[in-house]
Amino acid sequence: MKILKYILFNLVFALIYFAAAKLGLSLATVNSSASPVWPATGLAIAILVLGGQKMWPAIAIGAFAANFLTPSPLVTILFITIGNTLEALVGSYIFNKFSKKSPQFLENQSVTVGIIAASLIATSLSASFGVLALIYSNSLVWAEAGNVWRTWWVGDLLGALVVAPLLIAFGSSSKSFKIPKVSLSQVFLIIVSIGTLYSITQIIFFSSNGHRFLFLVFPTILLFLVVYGQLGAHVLTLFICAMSVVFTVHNNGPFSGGNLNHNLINLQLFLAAVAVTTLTMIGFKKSGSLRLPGIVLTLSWALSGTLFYLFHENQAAKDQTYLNNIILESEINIKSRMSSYENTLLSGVSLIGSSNRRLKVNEWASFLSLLKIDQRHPGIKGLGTIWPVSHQDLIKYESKIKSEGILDFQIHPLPNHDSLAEAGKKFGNHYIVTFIEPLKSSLSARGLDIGTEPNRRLAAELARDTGVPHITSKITLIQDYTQRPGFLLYYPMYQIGKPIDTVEKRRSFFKGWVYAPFVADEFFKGLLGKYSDQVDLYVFEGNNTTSEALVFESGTKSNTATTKKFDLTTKIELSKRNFSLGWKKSNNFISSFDTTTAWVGFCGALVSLLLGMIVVILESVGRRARVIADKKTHQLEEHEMKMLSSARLSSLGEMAAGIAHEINNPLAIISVKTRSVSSEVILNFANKGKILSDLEKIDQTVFRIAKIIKGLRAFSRDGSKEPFSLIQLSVILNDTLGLCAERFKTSGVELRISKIPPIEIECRGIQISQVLINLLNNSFDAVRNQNEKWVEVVIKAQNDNWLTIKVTDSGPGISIEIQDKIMEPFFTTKDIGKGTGLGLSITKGLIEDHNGKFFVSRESIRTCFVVQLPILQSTEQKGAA
Amino acid sequence: MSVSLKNKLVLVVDDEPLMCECLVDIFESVGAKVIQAFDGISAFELLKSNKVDILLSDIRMPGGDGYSLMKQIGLELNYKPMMYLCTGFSDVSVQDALAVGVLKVFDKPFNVSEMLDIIFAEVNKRL
Repeated sequence: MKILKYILFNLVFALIYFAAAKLGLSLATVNSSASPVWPATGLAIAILVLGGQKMWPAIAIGAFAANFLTPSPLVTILFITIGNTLEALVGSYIFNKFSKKSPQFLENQSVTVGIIAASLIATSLSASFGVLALIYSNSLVWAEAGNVWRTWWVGDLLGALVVAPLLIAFGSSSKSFKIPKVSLSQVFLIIVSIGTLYSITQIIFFSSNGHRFLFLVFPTILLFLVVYGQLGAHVLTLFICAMSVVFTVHNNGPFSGGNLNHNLINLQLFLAAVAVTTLTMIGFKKSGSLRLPGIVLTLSWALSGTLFYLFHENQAAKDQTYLNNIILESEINIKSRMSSYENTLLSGVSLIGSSNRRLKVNEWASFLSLLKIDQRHPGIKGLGTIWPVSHQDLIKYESKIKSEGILDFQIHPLPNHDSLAEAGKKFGNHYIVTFIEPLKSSLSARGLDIGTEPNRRLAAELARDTGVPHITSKITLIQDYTQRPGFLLYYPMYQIGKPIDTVEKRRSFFKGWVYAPFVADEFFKGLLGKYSDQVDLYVFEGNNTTSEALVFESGTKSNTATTKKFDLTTKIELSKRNFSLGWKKSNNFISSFDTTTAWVGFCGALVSLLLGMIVVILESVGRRARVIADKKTHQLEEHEMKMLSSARLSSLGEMAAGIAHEINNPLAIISVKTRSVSSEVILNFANKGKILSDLEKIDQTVFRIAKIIKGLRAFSRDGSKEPFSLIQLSVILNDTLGLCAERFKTSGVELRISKIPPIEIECRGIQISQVLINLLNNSFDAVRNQNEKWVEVVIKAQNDNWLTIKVTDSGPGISIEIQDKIMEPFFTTKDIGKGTGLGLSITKGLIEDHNGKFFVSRESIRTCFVVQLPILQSTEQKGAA
Repeated sequence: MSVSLKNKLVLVVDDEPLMCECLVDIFESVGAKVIQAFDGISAFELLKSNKVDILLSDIRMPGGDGYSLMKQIGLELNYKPMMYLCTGFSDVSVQDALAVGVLKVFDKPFNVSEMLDIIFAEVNKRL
């Protein structure tokens, strides 16, 4: 069953691959087997990544089938098939390696890098196989191999970069696909994104010169990434690439016009930039927020886009200048040719006018053979004379000409137009072509009454009336059996020496015309000279460029598939007739556009990505640093807590002896007194007064012990997490003194306590106790071995909510150098093992927790520590502490 | 045999008056004559001016502690009373105390009967 499924899937995928391959082949331009974009590669890699490398037969079958239908020998097809299959295998292998085990420094960029690496390496395999196969079968020569290899490689690469990530992303996410709920702001974003897409599509693909706005694509992809996520970005990339390719293949869009090779390179650079940008941005999104890299990217794109635009405009301007020069030159050529035609006619006019007698037909013939117009002026079909004849004189005229030697002279009208009788009735005269040479090409024109055809009549009469050569509008020459567009050029002749400055005078002294028929095709041929393969010229009669008015088209025929949109349209007047000239750059136009602009754009896109990558790396480094710092801070806090408790313990240890003594004494008293009471009871309550007095002393002693125990509270807990509460100052003092007083007494150190203000202070009682104990202990240690031993505690409550406690001892003061240092942790002047020096820094911390101040007094010559505490905490202070 | 310290002069030394009062009570209850001092210096004066039989002193006292007092007796007094130390905390080792001639160190709170028995036994030994 499994095998059946395997075979089925293989066949299905082979079919899909085949379709993709056919699509790619339809884009083949350089060589029938090498396409500029080969989407099948991306499909193949995706199939092997998603379905596993075991699906390779699908690729092999599909590739074989696709190439089987191209005109190549079997060996070639086999080679290409192997190449494609290997490409898919290698590509999927590399991709899997990167996506499974990503090196630390690449982090989330590994998938991006993986796709790029896989694409680069695998596709070069396929290209190499393909090129070798083609050379082997002699479908390709070595000289062209490089070009074909590059096209093949880039085509496959682009197919891989664009198609593979989309399919892989789609395939791996389709399992968790669900319709997301859409909020109002998201709807807005969706509208914005679609609007943007529509706009840029219009700008880039459907307007002329959209090429310069290509950079607009990048922020659009970023927008889609933000709004629709990874899949949206992929789909948009595919859309843009597909549009670009399709338009280019149809010679339209931003990559058309001019050199085909350049267009392909530009297209491929663009596709590569778009694909890499999409992949990289998705990598950015995965490794954190898009905000900062997005800003950097947008700014960078703005810069490089502007640069690209300027480059483009610069080159476009150069091209325009070049084209303008070509046009100018060509127009000059056209005008001069027409001029020469007119001069040719003028020579005929001069010939006729140079003598009084009538010209003989053989004279005309020799004149023309001397003129050699078919060599000098290839467009002119012949040179002839037209004489006006009144209707009455028509028959007489015919006979006269016949008698002059033209035996087969027969006046006839133009076919499909007025008959001679009709023309005679309408106009009263006829314009008869009398001489026409060379005869062999224009026999049918001799005897023609051009007055029977309105265009011919009109132009002739205009020439007569204005005295200036005129050409007809577009006509079909009677002697041109191919029926191409043609013209008649008339040169009017007048009696010599007569004034011809008005229309009437011209009419009255009019003799006839020398005329020449010419075919437009042959007139305009070769006028582009050396530019004829770079520019296509379309000539239209009149002011419109409709196809009815088309008179001539030069033909590199590379633009036949396009709409007739011209790069430039100019107007020219030839012999008093207006023509519109449509100019188009052909594929061989020597554009100053090389691929520089495209490379500038490509590099600009890459640099933008690099900048974004730097930002992302910095951000992630910053994040990691913060995580480490947080951990360290946490460790530090824990450490501090441990030190606090050890300081408490050591403080307690210092006083343990004293405390024990302080408790044992009262206990002994209680014990003795109890015994005393017992004896008194045994003696039958004889001395009641003594019993009562003893019992009272027992009671008092119990409370003495209790006080000491209360003083121990200061060491029972850390106290830093306790809430602030209102505590009687005297309670704190009593707790403290209960612990310390004994030591002082034993060692003979006088402890002077000033009057304790009867106030309540808002504080953590335990912490304040700890502070006082610490200060008293320090002072005790400082003076125990001095001659003068006392410690004084002065407490003052001020009106401004401040309580000041000054602990002064009889020891020497603290020198200035040490004063600042003593508040530092671990600073101690005690010997090693005696005191850890922690006390003052912790004391300072505890006071500052109460929003108070702790410092050494500078006013006393003795050591004097000052503690200032707010009596009542304000609400913010409580929150802060 | 019940304890009796009749005709013995006892000097109790403790800086806490209430403690002295207790000790005076204890020794008076077994018939001794008791004088008291509140520090080592005044205790030494009393030793010089009275032939004290039994000395019981606290150790921790300002103005001369009990241990120094014992040493001073050994060095400067021309007679030796029976010397006992009371301590609220073992801040003097027993060896050191015995080395200066102290017969016993009592820890506070002490068992009064025990203490009396020990002293009485020592008195009998010296008879």
